[in-house]
Amino acid sequence: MSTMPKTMPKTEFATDLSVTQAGDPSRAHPMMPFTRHDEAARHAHVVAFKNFLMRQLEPRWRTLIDEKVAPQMAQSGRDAATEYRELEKNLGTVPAYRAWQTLMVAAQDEMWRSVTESVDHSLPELQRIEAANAALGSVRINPEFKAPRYLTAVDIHRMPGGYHADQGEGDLRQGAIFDKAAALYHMGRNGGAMNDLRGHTIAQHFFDRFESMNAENPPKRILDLGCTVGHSTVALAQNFPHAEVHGVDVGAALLRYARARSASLGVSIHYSQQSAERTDFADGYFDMVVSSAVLHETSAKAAPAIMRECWRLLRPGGVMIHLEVPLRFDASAWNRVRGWFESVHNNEPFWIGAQKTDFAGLAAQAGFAEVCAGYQPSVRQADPTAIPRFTSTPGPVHVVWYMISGIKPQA
Amino acid sequence: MTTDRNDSSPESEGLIFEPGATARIHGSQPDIAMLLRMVAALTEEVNVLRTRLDTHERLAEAGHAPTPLSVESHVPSPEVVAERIAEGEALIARVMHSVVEDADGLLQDEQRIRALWQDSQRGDS
Ligand SMILES: C[S@@+](CC[C@H](N)C(=O)[O-])C[C@H]1O[C@@H](n2cnc3c(N)ncnc32)[C@H](O)[C@@H]1O
Repeated sequence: MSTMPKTMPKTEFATDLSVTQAGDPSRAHPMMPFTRHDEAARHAHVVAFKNFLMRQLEPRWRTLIDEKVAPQMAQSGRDAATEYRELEKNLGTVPAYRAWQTLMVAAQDEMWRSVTESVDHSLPELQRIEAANAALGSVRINPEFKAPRYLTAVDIHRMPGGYHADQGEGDLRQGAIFDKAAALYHMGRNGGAMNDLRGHTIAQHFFDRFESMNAENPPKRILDLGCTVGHSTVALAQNFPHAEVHGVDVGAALLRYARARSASLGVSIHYSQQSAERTDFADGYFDMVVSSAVLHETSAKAAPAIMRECWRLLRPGGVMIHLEVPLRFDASAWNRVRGWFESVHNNEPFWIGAQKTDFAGLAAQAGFAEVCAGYQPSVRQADPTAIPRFTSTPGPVHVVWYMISGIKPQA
Repeated sequence: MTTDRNDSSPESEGLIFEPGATARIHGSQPDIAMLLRMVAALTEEVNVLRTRLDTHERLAEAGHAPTPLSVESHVPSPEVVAERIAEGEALIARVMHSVVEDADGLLQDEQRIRALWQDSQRGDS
């Protein structure tokens, strides 16, 4: 059903939305795609649908598995967490569980579909805004670049086209889709429409752990590996306003959009299309290298390669910080079953692998010193003077993030 | 973790499925899955209509005629958006009540619960 005002030609409509939605808090920055009335209603519906599935239905599965099945099995000397694959198969006999899975997939697909609808009519206006901010930051695209197989084998998160889809010169589409969907995906819990909670939390981790370095010699060159559209990169640049900030990712359309988005926020960032496993920056170029929610989307081979690349890129004394989803804190049987669902039905092929990977061990193997892994409570705005809260106490995703950090030793 | 296999196997990468493999929901029947998706889509249409109605009422309350342009120009406050999400969730819960009921029934049914793990050794059938 079209909600287009009948008196208005289609091409002018986005311009009009840019006026009427100027004060809309869900837009957060000038490059955010515009939404028509019914599209916004669909986006709200997707959040409501996910709330129903994850907050009303899913707790029942946790009760079933962790409070009923697991204790019963324990009494018979069996471990539900080990047998999660069998349990998952047997749950296929439960109509409500089959329905839950089908509906989870449907909600995710509808999120991407409804967002893409908004992006497609917004693109001309977004291209105009991009051009108006062309001077700030930079983007280097490599037409020869091939994204690694672990990112192209399936569309991660079921996002049609994955991270790498690109329609050639000037294309912003995949970036705009990712940006508009992110707040729906996180149900607003990653810093609302800015999605910068993780970026601030990484900055806070640096302030918490490396306070004296921050006071004496704050990072002058920072790299964000797997930056997508720069959600976290912008927050880093804002917390280290004097630093030269770089971001790399595999998707050309993501990176063009990332530059335009950062620039529209008045932030200069240098984006380039390359693999975090091997970049073209000089040895020792950076004072700080970070990644945010990237390692679990790589592979058992790529994760150690990325650690080694961080080591190469840092100057002696430089800091590496990886933020991850707190995958491992919850070893319950339900979390295993849920992890399997995430892997197979939300297209996260390395999710289970990442649950089993000792990232801190990989950092130490790559040569890092003072390696620490733990939980950093989320902050909306990082504060160098705040009392450190980095802790070994786990917590749920969005409330805390799992951090792995270390220093490249002085030679 | 197995790393000594053929270099490019998904297992050697810690990936859990082959490229292109279609995920299967155990026990799911294609026609039922299709129907579920249709019900979900229809529920969305009802919710979108309700939101539009809500916008009309808010406009009328503020003394504006609900025209296509005034509806498009209406920017709900974050509080209103949050309210609409909560109402949407309640609507979905009413439509999908039978799913919740089946889950609750299972939680009360010791026999069905035991069947979930006592049969575990048999695996996929
Ligand atoms: C969940 S997103 C990260 C989001 C972003 N860092 C943030 O905090 O908002 C994961 C990103 O990592 C990127 N990525 C994964 N492996 C990569 C690699 N080898 N090189 C570059 N980027 C990679 C993906 O393309 C994707 O954009």
